[in-house]
Amino acid sequence: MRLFANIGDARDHILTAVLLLASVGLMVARQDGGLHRLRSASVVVISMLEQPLSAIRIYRQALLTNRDLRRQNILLQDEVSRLRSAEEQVRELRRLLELRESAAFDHELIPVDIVGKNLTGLHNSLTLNRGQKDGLKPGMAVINSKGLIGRVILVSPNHAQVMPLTNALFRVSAMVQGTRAYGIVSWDGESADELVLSYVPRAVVVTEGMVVETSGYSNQLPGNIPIGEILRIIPEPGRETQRMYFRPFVNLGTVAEGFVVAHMPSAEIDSLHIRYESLF
Amino acid sequence: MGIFRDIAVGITIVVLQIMIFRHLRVFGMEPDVTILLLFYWMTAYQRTRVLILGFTVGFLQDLLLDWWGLAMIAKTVTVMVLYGVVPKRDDGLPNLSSSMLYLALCVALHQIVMLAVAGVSDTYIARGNIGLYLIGNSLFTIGIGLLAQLLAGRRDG
Repeated sequence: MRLFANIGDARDHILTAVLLLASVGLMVARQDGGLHRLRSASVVVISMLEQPLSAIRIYRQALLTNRDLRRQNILLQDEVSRLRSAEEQVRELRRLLELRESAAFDHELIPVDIVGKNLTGLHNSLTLNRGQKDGLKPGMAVINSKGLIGRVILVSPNHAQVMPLTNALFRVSAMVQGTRAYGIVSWDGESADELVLSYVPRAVVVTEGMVVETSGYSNQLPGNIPIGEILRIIPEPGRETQRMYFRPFVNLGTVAEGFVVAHMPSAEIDSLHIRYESLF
Repeated sequence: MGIFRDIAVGITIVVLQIMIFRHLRVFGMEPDVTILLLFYWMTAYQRTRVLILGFTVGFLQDLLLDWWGLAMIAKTVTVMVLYGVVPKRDDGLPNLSSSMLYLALCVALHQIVMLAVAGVSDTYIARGNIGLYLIGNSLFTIGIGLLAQLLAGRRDG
């Protein structure tokens, strides 16, 4: 029995050696560029075998591709959104730069960013990222390339609070461009898109579409800052004046940058006013 | 005639391996069910027969996957080294954990031989993460084997 077992072992060892040699032979033949026909045939066979399941594989691949594309789409949408925002910012900054370079004002223009907005009621306000350290003082006008935004009311070392046009307490002396018709601009608190120019004499001929700008006569803000465009004119009952409703050029809802005009009321004029008032 | 039936089974398993199991990739790991068949043959048949069957299945695998020699050598060496160790069905089946241990040994040796020969012959198998190929594929194959064993046990029971 042991003899047969040994013969069986020897047979298996020989068989193993033959099989291994055959394997190595095939491996070498492949490395040397042989088996070309056999390899071509195997490619044909495997493609035939894989064909029935290729739809499933394609579907799986499509799902993966779809997931990647959706992820990429979200990233691209985010990028587009940021680019649009940046484009708008660049456009506004360019306009501000043009405004600064046009030297329409004799006063220094301090660039500011609007970092806070409260536009929900009658006492609306804006917060700027510059303050006392940057030369801001109460009373200075805040403008952008379109026109007047408001007036600085409070300052801290690094920030300032602005009373915008659409604040029920806001007042500024203004005139209709090209007419010398003067009045006071205010906001009636009804619509953010409408301001009122009051106390303009009826004798002055004003038409819709004319521009309202600061007059500079109140000794508060410099003159010739555009404020808005006249929408309609209504005579004030029982008076010789008329009220003009006009749309402000600046949209406070979207404004984000601007300049503070480093203009201060003339102390001499203020002193004269006080002396005049004391006479009566 | 029995050997031809086993070769037909082997061809079917190789075809299934190429058509289905090769594409069941999980984190880059894929099972090799031909090793499970080899393990079954080692528990059921004489060594000479298993050598011939293993070589035939390996040849088919190499032919279709363009590995040329890898599967043939790996299967022949695995049979030659582990045939004496693997328990035989005639002696009574071992319990599940023992079976899995022997299967793990079989799969690990097969994969190691395959990797070693691939390294020598510079064949493009597992050029990426060798650890993943060795451990991941082995575990996946053992998992499939365990599943098959459990299903077979339930059917027999």
